[in-house]
Amino acid sequence: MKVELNTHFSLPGVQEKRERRERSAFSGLFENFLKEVNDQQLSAREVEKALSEGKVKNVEEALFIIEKADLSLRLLTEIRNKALESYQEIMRMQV
Amino acid sequence: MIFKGLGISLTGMLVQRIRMDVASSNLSNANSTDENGNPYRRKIPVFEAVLDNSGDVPVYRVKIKKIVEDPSPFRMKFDPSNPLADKNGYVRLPNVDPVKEMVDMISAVRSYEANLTAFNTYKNSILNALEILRA
Repeated sequence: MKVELNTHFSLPGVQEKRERRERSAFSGLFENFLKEVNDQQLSAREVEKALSEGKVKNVEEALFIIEKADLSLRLLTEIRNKALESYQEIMRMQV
Repeated sequence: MIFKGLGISLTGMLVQRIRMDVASSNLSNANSTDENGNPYRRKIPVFEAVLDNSGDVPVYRVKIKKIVEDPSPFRMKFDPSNPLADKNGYVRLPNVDPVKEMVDMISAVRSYEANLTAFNTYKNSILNALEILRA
């Protein structure tokens, strides 16, 4: 994500447009990441199912997939907490 | 990719597990013959380093290249009453030394543990890095 440091005054319309674009960049990024984490969770679930049915030949690979899903989910949670925290911080601001 | 180190340790664990499999096969067949009456030959796994050049750092995965047979001579035992004995009364037994196999097994287990520790250390450092965000 590119952070724009240009804080010149500009017309309200232009300002709004730029903000919207930045917001969509972040939300797009977040959405992609979310999808990826979801996919990993789904494959981890499949692997766990196969593991419980005794169909897994390669135990280490299964553990790897589960660990990967776990770490990604943790990162996602942290990012979500951070984003929410920032939002609340902004909402608390005195105008 | 952030999970690369985990994947490398994983291949190490996989290979050591196969080594354990081979050692147990050798150990359990220390006195057996195959369907043609020939003694079991000791199996040796051969490892190969495979370059993984997908990231910035060239790292090597390990894989089993092949499993070869030990060409060393069979053990000879004098046992004329055995139906498989030759005309001099000697029986050919597998070229497996159980003590050697036990040592190989211990070595494989220790290597597996080393890879597992590397895996967990890597994972813990990622988790510790995530703590930055929590603060």
